[in-house]
Amino acid sequence: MRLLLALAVCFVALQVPHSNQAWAIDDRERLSDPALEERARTLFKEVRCVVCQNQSIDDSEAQIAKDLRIIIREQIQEGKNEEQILGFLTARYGDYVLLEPPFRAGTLLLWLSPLIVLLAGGAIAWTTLRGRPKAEANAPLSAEEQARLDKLMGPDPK
Amino acid sequence: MRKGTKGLLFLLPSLIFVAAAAGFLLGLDPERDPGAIPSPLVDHAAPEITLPPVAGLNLPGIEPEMLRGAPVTVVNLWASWCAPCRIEHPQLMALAEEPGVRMLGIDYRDRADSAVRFLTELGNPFEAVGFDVKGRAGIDWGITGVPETFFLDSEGRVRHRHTGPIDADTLKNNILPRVREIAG
Repeated sequence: MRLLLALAVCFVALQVPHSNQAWAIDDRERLSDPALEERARTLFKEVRCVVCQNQSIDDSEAQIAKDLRIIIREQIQEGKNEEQILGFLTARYGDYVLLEPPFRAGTLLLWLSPLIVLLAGGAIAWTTLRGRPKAEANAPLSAEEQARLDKLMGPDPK
Repeated sequence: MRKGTKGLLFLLPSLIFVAAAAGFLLGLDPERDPGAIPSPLVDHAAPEITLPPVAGLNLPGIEPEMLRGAPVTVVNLWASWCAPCRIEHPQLMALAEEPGVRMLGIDYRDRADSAVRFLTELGNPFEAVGFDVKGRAGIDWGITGVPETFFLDSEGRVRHRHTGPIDADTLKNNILPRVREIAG
């Protein structure tokens, strides 16, 4: 019982730091207004740390991620909206800085390819199945088939 | 009609092969760098930046009008702590000798005394060096690290960007031809 309790305490202790703050976030960077800080944190998760390939700036300790976090917090405090801030970043780093690529002419193929593959697969399945003759499970055996079956079954053991 | 679609289905494997082969061929291009991030600045006006001079360097800082006017303006982002910048430096010295080239430096997240020591030791290719102590100008240029070099035409439009150090080969085969093309 005591062991169980100790394990539970360890488990809870391990969970707490993960729960709502990333390791990379330095307390000194935080905004004092929790609502603004929340908006900043939401944006951080959408912005790629440009030197770490597939990490958001929310997760990264890289200097440039830190710089970008400071800039985003500053712009939020200046009253800029999300679109303006992401616009500021894409003007400098291109769409690469966004972890989720935007939906536009150049990314149409990227976004629609799952749908295209699904439709193509469906079309292939449909034409293949349509061309196949319907199985007639309950059709009676022809005389020839009955004769072959009788031969295979052998004489009635009765 | 059924016969028509059947005929097209026969072509499908060949079409898939051709598409895959084209994809592989593009991937095999030795000029292609899969790590390269396209700069949205290319073919756009260079960011308007004003930067203070580096203390003790006896060179002016950067003013927005310096980015226009010369046949080719080279903007090099460097730092004294950056080892590849040391490797690149002789190529910058050579580039400064090229006619029509104005060399501007942005000293990225650096200490002024180290920057002065770096240029005293290796030579100074720059007409002006801006001191970007907080890395803000670096972000305005969309850099991911130092060194990075931008090539601007006389109207201040970014025509080319080079990420990482310019080695002697790249200077000769890639950079100088481009610089001459921009200069016209």
